[in-house]
Amino acid sequence: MIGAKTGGRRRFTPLQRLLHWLMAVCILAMLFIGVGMVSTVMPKYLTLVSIHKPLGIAILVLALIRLVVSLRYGAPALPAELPAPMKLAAHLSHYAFYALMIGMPLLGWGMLSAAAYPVVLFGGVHLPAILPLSGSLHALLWDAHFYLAFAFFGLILLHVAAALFHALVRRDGVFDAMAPVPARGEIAPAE
Amino acid sequence: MAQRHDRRPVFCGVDAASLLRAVAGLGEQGPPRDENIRRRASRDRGVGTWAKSAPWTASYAEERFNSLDSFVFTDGFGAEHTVRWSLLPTAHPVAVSPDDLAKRGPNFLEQEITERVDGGPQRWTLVVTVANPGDPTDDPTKAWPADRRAVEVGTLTVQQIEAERDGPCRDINFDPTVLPSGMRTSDDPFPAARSSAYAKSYDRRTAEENDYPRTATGAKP
Repeated sequence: MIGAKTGGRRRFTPLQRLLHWLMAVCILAMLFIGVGMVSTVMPKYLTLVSIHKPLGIAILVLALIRLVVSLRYGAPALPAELPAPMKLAAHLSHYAFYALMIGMPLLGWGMLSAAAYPVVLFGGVHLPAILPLSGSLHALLWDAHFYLAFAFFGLILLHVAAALFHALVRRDGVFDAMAPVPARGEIAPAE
Repeated sequence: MAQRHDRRPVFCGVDAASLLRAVAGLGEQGPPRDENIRRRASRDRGVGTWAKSAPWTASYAEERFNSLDSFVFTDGFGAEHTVRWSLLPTAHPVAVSPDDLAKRGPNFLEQEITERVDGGPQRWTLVVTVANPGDPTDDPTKAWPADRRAVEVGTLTVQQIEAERDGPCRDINFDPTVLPSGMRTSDDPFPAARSSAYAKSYDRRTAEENDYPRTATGAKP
């Protein structure tokens, strides 16, 4: 929804759809790993943390790629008959998604930096600190990372509800625009 | 979970009742609520008797420190070994009776080590004890047989002591799972538990950073 270009497409480009569904899997996994991680003192804590950090950075990279792709290709126009408040909600929710997809990894990275924790990715690659050591900054970022994660989960639930509403109730093609494969019976638009 | 003497009995108070009982040396007293606590309390027995009869010294520089927890070290050939580390004093230990210790001030160990380091660097030898297959690497309360191979791997030199209040160590979380390459956690579950709990406590501590009493001279933003 970011970017005005639509190119008259009814569906997102295959690259956009691939990024969407890949990130959906990553982000959902990430949220549950995060909740599990802060809820245990068992050895799986270390395993979960060691997945959480590199996966967060992977989501950051994918989100930045997606932002560029989105600015380049835009999004199919929403149906003209869609009520204005729903259009507004659709646009605002997508800004919120991009803010969280890019913001959450940065908050996590910044939080670890402010506590001088090493940020280790797969293969022992260390990322540099992006903030100086600061206890109060760490506490602030920790809270932001924690509570925004639940907000992110809430946003995803709204997003899924809206997608199902479009797919099953309104049947207006909005869901098909991002569906991994075209809906059955759909006829390709004439060139 | 560093331990100051190799003969100190280890207690592992997973629940508060057995921890308190162990500290008080009350292994056999009190009504254990269930068999699990009874078993744990009997394992913890001995701390009280040990504390009364153990050889005491009057300096950290004369004490031995033990990791209790095991870690996996990789050697120069890439082979992995499960080890526990110890810091052995290079200063000659002088035994002091508990009665003499009782006459000293409440912070004499801190004062003593500060004065000693002011007089010259203090050193401990880092030794790792290598587990044999089958040794209880996953339970820090269980000792390994005394004949296990010990390897001298380095020296800890303390050149300077800074008070905690405004020192550089205060705002750091000492997470036992943050390890340099070549070392990693073993099947011992305690470092993970400590890492998880410390991360939370560090967050709570840093959240109240502005209320921490500071000295005027070393104040940090």
